[in-house]
Amino acid sequence: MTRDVTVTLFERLHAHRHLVAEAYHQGAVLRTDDNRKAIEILQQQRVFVPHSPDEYRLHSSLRRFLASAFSSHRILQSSGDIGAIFAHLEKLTDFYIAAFNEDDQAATDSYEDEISQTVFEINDSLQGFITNLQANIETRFAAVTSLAAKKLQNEFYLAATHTLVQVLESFHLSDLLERIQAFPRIETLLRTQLFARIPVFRSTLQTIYETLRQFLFEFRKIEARAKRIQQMWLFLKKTPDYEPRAWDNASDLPAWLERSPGLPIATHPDVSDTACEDTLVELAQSIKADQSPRKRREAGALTAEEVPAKVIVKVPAHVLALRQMLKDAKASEAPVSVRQWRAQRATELELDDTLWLELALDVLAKKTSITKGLEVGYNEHSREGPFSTGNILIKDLSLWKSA
Amino acid sequence: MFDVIAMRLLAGKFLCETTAPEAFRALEEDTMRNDVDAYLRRIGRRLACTAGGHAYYMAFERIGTDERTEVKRLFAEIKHELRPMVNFLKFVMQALRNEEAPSPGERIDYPTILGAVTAHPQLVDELRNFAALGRDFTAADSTPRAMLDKVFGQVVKSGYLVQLDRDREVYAFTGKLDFLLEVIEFLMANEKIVEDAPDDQPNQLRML
Repeated sequence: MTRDVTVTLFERLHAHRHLVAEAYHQGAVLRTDDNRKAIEILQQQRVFVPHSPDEYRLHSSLRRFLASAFSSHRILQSSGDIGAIFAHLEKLTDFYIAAFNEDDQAATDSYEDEISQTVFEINDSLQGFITNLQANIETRFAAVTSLAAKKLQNEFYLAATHTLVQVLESFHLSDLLERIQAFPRIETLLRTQLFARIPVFRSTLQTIYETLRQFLFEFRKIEARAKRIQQMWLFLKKTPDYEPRAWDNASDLPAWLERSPGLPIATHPDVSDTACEDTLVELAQSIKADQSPRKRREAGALTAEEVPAKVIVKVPAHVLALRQMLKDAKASEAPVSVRQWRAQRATELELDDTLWLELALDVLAKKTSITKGLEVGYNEHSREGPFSTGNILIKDLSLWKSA
Repeated sequence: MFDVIAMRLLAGKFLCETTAPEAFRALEEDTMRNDVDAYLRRIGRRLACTAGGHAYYMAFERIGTDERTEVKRLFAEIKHELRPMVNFLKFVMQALRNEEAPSPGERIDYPTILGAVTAHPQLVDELRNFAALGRDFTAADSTPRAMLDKVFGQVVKSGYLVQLDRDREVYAFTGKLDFLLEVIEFLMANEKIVEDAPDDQPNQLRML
């Protein structure tokens, strides 16, 4: 049993996959003692071709396959490729007719095979181009970040799509089908696999073309808008006192100044209108019934109202003492010493003089109604030394009624 | 849908894809637009659309003496918002390292902006400059978060931004931005405001 050469090729590609990958990513691989044998095998399979005396690169057909499988960049060139394949197809058809006329069966079979491969290649390439382009349109060229790059891609695809539409139109209008009418197999293949699909491809490409044109317009608008904001920002920065001219006084107002403010609107249902009845019923039904427990009054009996619980506000003893002291000071003819007052009138308070003085200072600083009409005198400690900390040290406070 | 549209317009609100998508789409229909316009004209108003077509609003049908007071009030509001909004748009472009100006409907991710501010001291300075625009933009403390909160809060209050997702702190620009861009374009064209944008601006952005 003969072994399938395709399987052999794939096995060799698999065995030397790292070398193939390196050649794809690096562009070429350097021949060394370690990879010499592998390169020879791959060269025999037409996977590698010499690049320079010691370097090898991937065969362009394999590189093209890998690029179209992995990357969108390769697709950038495919409109040109597809155009070339169409031209190639026309040539192959001519060769096929010539071989048939010369009665060269082997050549006829070979060209027929190549024509069908080319037809499938055109289909795949067109579908690949469209799919890739649609993905790019969907994401608005998200693969590139800058606006300039997006614009560049958009312009490229616009030109490529336009070229493709033209190629498809001229191919569709060509006399190819008429020329191969005498060869039913080829004619059926081209008609069903290519000519029947061209209108669909053309229509899709036309839609894509229109979208790309719209994008181009939008990209230009975005660019202009960004420029305006940038310019305005710079202008405002340089001109901090800028005020727009009094456009509100212009007889011919700009459209944006004609904007009307909101009107104060208050709505209420017209309960006398029968048309509102259903809506009002609906509203009333949507209000939940009061779920709070209620005591039912027995017939003939009175319901006793519950007496609210008594609340006792407990005022601290020192607050009461302070209030009394202020009251006494207002009533006294002579100034009242704060410390003396505590010593005489609030002996039960468990706090020392320092704290008592602080509490008195605090209540006086608040300047509430109870301190109103009182004057305060500070009995200071004598200051020692030429320097002061800024704090005033007091021994006592005197309170007396304002004049 | 007519009542929703009419009520929003009568309340003086902008109607756009971000704030009222269904109403906005309904207004894209000629019939609805004509109906609304005819309704407003009965009360001396009309339906108007921003230059970019991103928002609808209510406008006066005619400008007489009575309407002039409102025109002056609107112009004062625009003047008040112009500088902070231009600064905000520029700030967003810097923070997102984006050479594209924000457009209506565009989403703004607050954490991304805050991340950029935290990483780049220049942006903190820009944020601090907002305080010079008045008390409305002055934060209680000087942390980037507080300053950014204040600025975002003010832009939301002015109606240019709307919060879409409270948890993830996602905002979106409203159609009112289109109105502002129309004003900017008008002022630049009619007041001969032409400042050459420095050529190295993209580089400056990249350097941030």
